[in-house]
Amino acid sequence: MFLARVKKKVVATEKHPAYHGKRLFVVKPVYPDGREKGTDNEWIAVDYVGAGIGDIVVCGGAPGVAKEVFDLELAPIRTLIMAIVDHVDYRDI
Amino acid sequence: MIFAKVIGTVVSTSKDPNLEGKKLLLCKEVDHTGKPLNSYHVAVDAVQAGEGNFVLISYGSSARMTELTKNAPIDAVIMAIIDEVQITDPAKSAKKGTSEV
Amino acid sequence: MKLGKVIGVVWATKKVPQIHGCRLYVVQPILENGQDSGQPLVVADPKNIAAPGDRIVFVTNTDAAQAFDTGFAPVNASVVELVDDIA
Repeated sequence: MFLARVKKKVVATEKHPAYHGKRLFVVKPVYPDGREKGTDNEWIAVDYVGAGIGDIVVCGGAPGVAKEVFDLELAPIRTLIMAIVDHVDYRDI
Repeated sequence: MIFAKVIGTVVSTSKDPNLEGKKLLLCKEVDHTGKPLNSYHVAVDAVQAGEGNFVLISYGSSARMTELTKNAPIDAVIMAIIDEVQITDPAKSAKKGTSEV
Repeated sequence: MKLGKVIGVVWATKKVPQIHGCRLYVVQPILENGQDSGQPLVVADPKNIAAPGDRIVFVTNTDAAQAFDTGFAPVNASVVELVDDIA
């Protein structure tokens, strides 16, 4: 998984059924100190833990994860916001 | 699998219920010689790793193939703590020496 | 599946139970002509097929777990064959 900052909300009315009722956010991967990684580095992620704009979150996903999380037959969903970060304790090397 | 060094802990209270009770560690990817690469990963700890440990991370859907992470929405797990990486190929260990200069 | 050469051994005492007794190697992916192709990676050897210096075939991604009897192991690559010759 990677750390990212929630930047913006994606608004849409026409959606694949698997996306019904789900919030989508634009997230930008960040370094542990909060600096954003590159300018052209961003992802769209499905939030299901109640993240908001500005939050640092844990993002990730792998084939089959979304299917299990949302209990769907078919889930064309890759990136999920699975945790909101309170803080990161670390010492870089 | 990739080599990494554990550099810290990620603390989170709002998270997927299947992540409750699991330790999220911040890791920095390294190469097989232990040299840090500029890539960070958040991984679930399945082997009681700690800060400073040299570890192996399994990623993607394989990361869910441990008892701890079976139903968890994760894509990276620390599945071994490395004692030593022994390069047996003479050509490769020579290469390692020059890359460290 | 890809060809590789075992260039090192990863020693780890503490591992998840799913891979106990399974050796972990550092493998350099190679082409059929022996040339290196990309960066070395870690490959599990659930059937104890390989040894350092060997040319092997390995599988990656989700299929890597299928090399274990249980079909359940957190690995990204597994040794499946020891190459005798490429004709």
